[in-house]
Amino acid sequence: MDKIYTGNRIKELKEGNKQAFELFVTEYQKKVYYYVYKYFNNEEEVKDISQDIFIKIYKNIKYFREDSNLNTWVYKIMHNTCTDEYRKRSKRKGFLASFFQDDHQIESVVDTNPSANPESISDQNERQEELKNCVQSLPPRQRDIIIMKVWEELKIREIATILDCSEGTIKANLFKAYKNLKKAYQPLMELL
Amino acid sequence: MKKECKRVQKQLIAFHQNELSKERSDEIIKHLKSCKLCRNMNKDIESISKSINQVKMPKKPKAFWDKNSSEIMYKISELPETSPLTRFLSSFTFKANFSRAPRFAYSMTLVAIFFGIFSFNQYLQYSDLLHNMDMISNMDVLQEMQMYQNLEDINDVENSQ
Repeated sequence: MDKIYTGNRIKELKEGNKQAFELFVTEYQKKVYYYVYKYFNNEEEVKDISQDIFIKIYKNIKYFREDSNLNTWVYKIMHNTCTDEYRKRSKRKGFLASFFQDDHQIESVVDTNPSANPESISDQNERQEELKNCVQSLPPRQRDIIIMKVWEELKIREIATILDCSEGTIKANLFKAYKNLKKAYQPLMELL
Repeated sequence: MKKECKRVQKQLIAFHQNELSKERSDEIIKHLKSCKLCRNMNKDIESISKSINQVKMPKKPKAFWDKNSSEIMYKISELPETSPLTRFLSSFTFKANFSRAPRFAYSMTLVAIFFGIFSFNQYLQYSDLLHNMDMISNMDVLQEMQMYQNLEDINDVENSQ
């Protein structure tokens, strides 16, 4: 996606061209929305936060120095906004209690496995929920890296740029995250 | 655990994502064939990655995305116009490129500027003091000169008498 955003298109965005930005929103909104969703696992919060991210992008695109690609820069804004929001919400009393509540629908897995019976679908959904909770219960840095690496499929170099740290730190944290996930998710893995 | 095992396990994730050189990938493949511990670790990583990738995201209809993008554009159109002065001032804030690392550098620069101003102020005060002391010592000399002059005048008067 970011390959489209080079030269003239970035220049248009930097100049504040609203048509160019509308196109950018259309192309990036799913990416931003689902990134925030993976971070908060709560649909009520996601829409507002993802819209705030676009407003921040609009306000700050003129400061984009083009020393990294636009995709990495957008991820940096997404990550910083989500981290700030998470900190704010964590401080609020009772937030953590509602944080792990199941208040969203997960796409049915019937499409991917037509032969699955309702019980196994429910099991799979439960396991997926459990796994999401496992990811979210990781220490913040490990959780961020797992989301970026495994879900978003970013390269270690890109994650290092987004998080302002060395590639070695990312690799070490990723390794620790897998170890922690294995510990937390072991009983479910045996069922898979 | 062997040293090589530790090294291999730390690189297994990069190995999965094809982020290693061909030589290093070949070395890892060779090691996995001979080491059960690392092979199990590799299986776990594969299994967890696969499970995470299978987690489904809530599907949204096209209307949802259309509404979302129009809401974003509406919020943007409602943003107040920034004055040139605000734009100039905001260029000094930490927003640029959303990088958090230079904050330390920015803070240190501000501290250096503060100490620079403080030291310059101290220097000005000190030079004022020196100037005043010079004045006082000059006044002493002048007073002495005046005194000698007066003595000479008295002598002259006495001589003439």
